[in-house]
Amino acid sequence: MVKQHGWYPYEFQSGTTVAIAGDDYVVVASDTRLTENYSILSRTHSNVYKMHNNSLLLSTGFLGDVLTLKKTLEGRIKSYEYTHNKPISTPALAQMISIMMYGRRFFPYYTNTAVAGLDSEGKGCIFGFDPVGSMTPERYTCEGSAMPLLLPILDSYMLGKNSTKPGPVKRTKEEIVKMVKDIYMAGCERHVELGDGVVIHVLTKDKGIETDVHALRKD
Amino acid sequence: MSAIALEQATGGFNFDNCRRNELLLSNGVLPGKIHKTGTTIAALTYKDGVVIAADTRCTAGTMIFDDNVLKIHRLSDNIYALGAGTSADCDFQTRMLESQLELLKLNQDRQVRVATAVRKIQQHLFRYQGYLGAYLIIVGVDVTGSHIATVHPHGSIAYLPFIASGSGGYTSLSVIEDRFKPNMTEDEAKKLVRDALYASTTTDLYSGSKINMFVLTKEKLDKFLPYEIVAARTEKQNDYTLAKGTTEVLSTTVKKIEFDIVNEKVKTTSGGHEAMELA
Amino acid sequence: MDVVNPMTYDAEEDQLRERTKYSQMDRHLIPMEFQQAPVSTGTTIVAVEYDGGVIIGADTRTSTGTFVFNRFTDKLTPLTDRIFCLRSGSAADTQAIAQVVTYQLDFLTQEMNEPPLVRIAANCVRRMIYQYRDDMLAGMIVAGWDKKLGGQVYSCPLGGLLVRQPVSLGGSGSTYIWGYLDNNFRPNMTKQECFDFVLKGITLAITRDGSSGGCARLAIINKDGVERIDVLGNDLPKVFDL
Repeated sequence: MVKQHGWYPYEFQSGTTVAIAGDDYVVVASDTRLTENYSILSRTHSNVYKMHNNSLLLSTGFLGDVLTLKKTLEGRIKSYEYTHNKPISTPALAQMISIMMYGRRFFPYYTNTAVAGLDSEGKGCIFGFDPVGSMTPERYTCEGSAMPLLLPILDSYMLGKNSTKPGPVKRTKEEIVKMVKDIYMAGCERHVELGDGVVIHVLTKDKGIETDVHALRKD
Repeated sequence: MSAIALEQATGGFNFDNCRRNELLLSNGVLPGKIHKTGTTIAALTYKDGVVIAADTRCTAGTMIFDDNVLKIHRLSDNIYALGAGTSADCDFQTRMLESQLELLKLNQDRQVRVATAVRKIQQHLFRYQGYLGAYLIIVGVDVTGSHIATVHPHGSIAYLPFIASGSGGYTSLSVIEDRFKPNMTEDEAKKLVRDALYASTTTDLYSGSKINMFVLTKEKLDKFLPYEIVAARTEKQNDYTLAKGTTEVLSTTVKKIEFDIVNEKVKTTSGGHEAMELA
Repeated sequence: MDVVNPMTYDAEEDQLRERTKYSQMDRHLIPMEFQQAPVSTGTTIVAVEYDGGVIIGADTRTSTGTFVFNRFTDKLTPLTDRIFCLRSGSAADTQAIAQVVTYQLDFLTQEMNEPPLVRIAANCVRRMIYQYRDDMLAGMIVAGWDKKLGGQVYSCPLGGLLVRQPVSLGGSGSTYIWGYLDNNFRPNMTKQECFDFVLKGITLAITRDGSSGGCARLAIINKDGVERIDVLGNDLPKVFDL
């Protein structure tokens, strides 16, 4: 049998993230299981990173690249703030990430990344990226290993894609938080890399970040 | 007439399908992947017999295919098999062996021995040179005592006092290696196997859900299906019932169906726990 | 009516058959781990003739890759009451050979109404190894006692050779103890001398060879029968440990 030899610099540590933007909030969630191959590396690792200015970075994939991306970004944010003498806005942060990722066009960060925050009026905003930096503004996003399982539920819940007249559905942030718990619970039933717990951050203008942790099955 | 003879009598083997396969491959069409189960199975002997256990998770890649699978296969009243590897091979090879052993029992009018079952499957797997991906643990009690044998796809066997196998086998085996003693009591043995399975169901991604356990002695067979539910689904927090009109009604027709009542029967169904699926 | 000869040689077919011997399709259909090496006995096996019989010995490790699959394997496999074989190579192949030869010798015993000679058993093993030399991985030693020639050791390595030797080594661990053998072996040792010689040899191989390990199993075969001795890993004789 032919065996392929070669240098492969990437690993994959799983993780699934969800972000949903509303009129005056943004809900961000991540499971807390970190895996490699057959085993669990951590049961308490969140894939959501609080950035300097209350923007939240969601990043899954190769943890080495995720952490490097985050570390480099923190430096860039600091530099931005010293240069412009103001905190970086979420859209500007998104633009910065996009440029950074495209800078590694031929040796990309192996990450599924999104950034969530509030815009100048306090409205939720989310930007999703592919590994080489293509950026899209989103109303909601789901990335990571269990994305194929969770995204269709979000499509029907947030945009009514299963009904005859699809269109944005208004949801309160309490409803969204419950729904996020439910879809992670459902995802656990069918995906081996999803489990242990889900951490949910709700970001609002008045209250800042509120965090909630919900236990999931551990098997 | 001669045309027919020409078409039919080419002789030798027909390699059309090989050509077809090569063509498909060169066009980038790949065959489907074989279904394999990440699994933990474990068995150990104790004072009076054997304890065996298996998880119930069945996976296809990272997708959980079924969360309530019975991985313990019956070979005869006194012999059972645990299977890991290619699930189709485990199912069909154990079923084939079960039928052979039943015929043997009827023919000889004696309870079949573990050694017979093991030797039969060993010779069968050896003939297939590893192409049948069945990693089996065969356990049983017969006139010569209680036995555990492990059979590998290439046809090698070993009789052991305890063994664990499957993707979670290493984890389980280290628990058993640590605490195994000869001549344990039934409770000790059950506890040890349970702990071994619990370790692997919680750490191995491809094992999970429930622990099934059988206790087999000369006198009895206790089945625990399941012995323990390691993890289960929790209650939903929102109601997702779709609003009326989610699906548009295009037309409505009401038809009367003529029928006669032949007989009536009232049955009470027990709610609660779902029945164990038998493979 | 035209008659087509079914036996016509078809060069294209022949080529195709050669090419599809290991079908490309198999590569996709067979899961990776089944293409990998089977369970094999990375082994140390030793057999020595002494004054009055033979002593055979082996380690007890069986591994699949780096995993020790069985740590108390019995590699001393009986073929008849007074003849044993020692297995090295693929576990599946050597077990199959031992089982077939046991059957053949049982049959022979009934036909001749007396126990078969060690030479006959060795020849049965050799025949299997030679016949299936392209398909199997098996190196075996046949040792035992018979009325005609007393204790004998026959070596039957990979290609299907058969040779009688006063002392024989086999398996991956044997490479470490050839020098020990050359230095210490003497013909017609006493039973105790021979026993110590074999046990020390296995111990030396176990300490150096990664795929040999566990305990040592020995058997003394002579006119009185078979005496089996199992030595636990911590009871092995002390050797200089680098």
